[in-house]
Amino acid sequence: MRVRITNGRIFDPASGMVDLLGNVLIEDGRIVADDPALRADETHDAAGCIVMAGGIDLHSHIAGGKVNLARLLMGEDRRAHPEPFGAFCGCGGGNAAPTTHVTGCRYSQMGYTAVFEPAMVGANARHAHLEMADIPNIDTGGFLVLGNDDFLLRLIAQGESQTAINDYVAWMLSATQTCAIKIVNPGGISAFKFNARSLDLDEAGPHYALTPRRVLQSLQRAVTELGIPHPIHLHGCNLGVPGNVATTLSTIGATEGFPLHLTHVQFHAYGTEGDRRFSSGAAEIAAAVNANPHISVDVGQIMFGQTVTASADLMAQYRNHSIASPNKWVGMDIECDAACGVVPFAYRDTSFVNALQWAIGLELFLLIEDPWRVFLTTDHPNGGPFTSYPHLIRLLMDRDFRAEQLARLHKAARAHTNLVELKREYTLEEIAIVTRAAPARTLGLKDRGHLAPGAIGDVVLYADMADREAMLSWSARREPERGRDPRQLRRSLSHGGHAARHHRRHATLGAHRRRVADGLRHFGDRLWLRGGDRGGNRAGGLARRAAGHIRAHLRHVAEGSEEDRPGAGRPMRADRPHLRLLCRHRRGAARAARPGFALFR
Amino acid sequence: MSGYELRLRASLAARLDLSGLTPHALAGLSRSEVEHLSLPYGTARVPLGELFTLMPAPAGALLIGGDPRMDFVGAGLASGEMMVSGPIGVCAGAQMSGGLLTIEGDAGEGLGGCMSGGRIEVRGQTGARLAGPLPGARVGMTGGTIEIRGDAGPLAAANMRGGLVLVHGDVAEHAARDMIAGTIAIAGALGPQAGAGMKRGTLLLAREPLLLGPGFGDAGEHDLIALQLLARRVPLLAELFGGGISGRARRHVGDRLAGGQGELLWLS
Repeated sequence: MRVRITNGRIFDPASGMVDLLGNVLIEDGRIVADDPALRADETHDAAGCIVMAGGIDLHSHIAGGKVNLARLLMGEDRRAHPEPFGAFCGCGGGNAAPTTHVTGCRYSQMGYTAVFEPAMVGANARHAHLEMADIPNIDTGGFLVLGNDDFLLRLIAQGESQTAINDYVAWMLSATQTCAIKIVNPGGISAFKFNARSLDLDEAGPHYALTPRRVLQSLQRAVTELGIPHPIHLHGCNLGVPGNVATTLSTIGATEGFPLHLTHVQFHAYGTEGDRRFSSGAAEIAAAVNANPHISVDVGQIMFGQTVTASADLMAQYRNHSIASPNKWVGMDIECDAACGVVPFAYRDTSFVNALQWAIGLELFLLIEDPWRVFLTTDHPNGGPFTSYPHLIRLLMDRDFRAEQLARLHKAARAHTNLVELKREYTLEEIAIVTRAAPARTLGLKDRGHLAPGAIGDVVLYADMADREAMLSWSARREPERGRDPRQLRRSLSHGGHAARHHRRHATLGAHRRRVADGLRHFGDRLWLRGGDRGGNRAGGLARRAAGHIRAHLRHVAEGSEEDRPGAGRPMRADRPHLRLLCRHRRGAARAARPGFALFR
Repeated sequence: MSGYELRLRASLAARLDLSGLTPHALAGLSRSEVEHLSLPYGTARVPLGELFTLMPAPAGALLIGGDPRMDFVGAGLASGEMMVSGPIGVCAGAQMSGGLLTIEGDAGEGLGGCMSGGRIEVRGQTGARLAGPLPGARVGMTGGTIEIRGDAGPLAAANMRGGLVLVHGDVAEHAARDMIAGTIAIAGALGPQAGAGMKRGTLLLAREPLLLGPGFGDAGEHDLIALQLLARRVPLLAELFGGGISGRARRHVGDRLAGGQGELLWLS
């Protein structure tokens, strides 16, 4: 099956093709070099269209326990956003906490074809994978949350070798089928459970006496030595605390040259200047990122409106639960591995803090010079639902529009930002980098984020429109042929009866067809099971070795004297039965000899 | 501004969602636009004109022929008058903030969920969670009036926070559970386990409450002038209790197991 897309304006910065008229040829789901001699079964005329590779979102909470909790908590989200109107599967609704089907439908409408769940707790991995497999249209993958699990903290506290830590990390990656390591508030979540309410980078936690710096550095070395493509995906200390810009700068200093990805850095760029003791630290963070080529960031822009924040950082969520809107929240421990806090939030442009957060995010986008090291995210749903990406892109590409939006904000917040002086406008090429090419590169995805021969046939066509928000928006906003949905009447009437009337704006070709044929592809399988990838093979081998090491370690813990244990004298915490279970699961020949159910006793 | 009468062409074969279909929303639309409104019907959508025939009605009014599978009738109603001739499905009048909704038949579950104003009258019975919270919400009804001529199902006025509910018939179990504030007046019998977890709020009863939970304490006979004033200010209440309220009442306070100070007033 050959599909040829002709006469499109191609934006493919990874292959150095920018704004060139040309053809793209897809053969059996892969892009091949266009040869006029090859006859296409299907030809699409893309005249007047912009052609890009499928979008990649490397930080969007789309699956796992906390997302399900958010859905459960936010009944009003489902009521306010019934299922998308148009030619959909008719499975559910929601905006801040959408159902899996809506997640897939709306991402693909915006031209995204791969999305990564950035915080998968080991104990929840099975559920998260099943949930991601239920998301239609897009490819998915997950990052494993480490850095607060007792097993790792105990390894580090007991002074185990880096090899042991590497083994554990590799084994966990293999067991949970994830493709990168995320750290959420290193050591802080564990500290919270021992009643600490804050933990700074160089502050020793209450039980294991470990500093976040040490946890971070141990895992950073592990990730580098294992050869995992994506560096540590770090949600740092002191999220949302005014003055945390200092912590973030020290964190960058703590990397000592090891690559590091700072996620939703907007929430980590707050100063304490001004009457209200809350100011923008974007300039300092941007300067540090510009000066350190081994650092990459995603922004975690906030967007005004109702959303729900779902994070493993229970310490931060606990801090914020009293300002939840609507006033309800969920906080819980997860199997002693991590924790989870779900707090509904309504970001308001009339609020000084929210308005400044919005400006800080945009300042970061505009001040960080290298688009290859900054990725477009809203930390969905924490800063805003991913459906707001087209609006965000317009803010970045259109200086006048930005100024117009800024003029509506809280007055004092406007005085605290220099956004109006930032003249930079993102070009379409830069947008293609921050939404496609750069995420693919940092995740080590060689066949995504570009349109060169060999790439997956995820090709997106956008009708070229001056209003970039309209161009990139989800097409369900067009007026349907069969009449309006009465549930949307009030909204469209209040806008003077205006409902966007646009034709179909883009289509994801190839990708859909390929999925229909192949079923859903999961990144976990590709990176760690099927092999053929540097990181995969190496980690796979290490994982086999690690199983033995972990067994030995557990024996050591079981037999070791009480005084050896850090925090001796304090009550021992519940151990991790599931970890032991997984270890037994790896006993090779012995496993085959035993009946399956014995593993679970 | 013209009104419409929607007559069902045939009884419904699947659940029909009518949320947002209010006199106000239809006011700006032409007849053909109304006929082409797309309604969620089962797992599909159908144009309104396929299910209903449209007839003219008095300005500002919307008359609908009822069906037990018709859900969310009058949800979001803010002004105007809606009348349903016949039974109706779940969540009628949900999140209503004004106007009048009259239902000639029985109503399903969740009637008046999260309602904040306006008035609902039901000639028949209602299902569970009358005036309660919609899924995910912490509080139920916060204002307005609901009058039920028949009986009410379980969990009536659960999590209610304001407004007035009048039930001419009996009320099933778990009435006023976790009630925060507001008033429910019952002319018939009160079911078991009423008022569990009640914080504040008032249950006005015509008959002796027989099956109260252990969290309620008898606070004795009272002669409450406030009740006489209330009856004078709210004629609906006086009518419900047969014309007059003397002010004599036996008072039970609870749910004290949850530190609550709600009250049951058995009028005598």
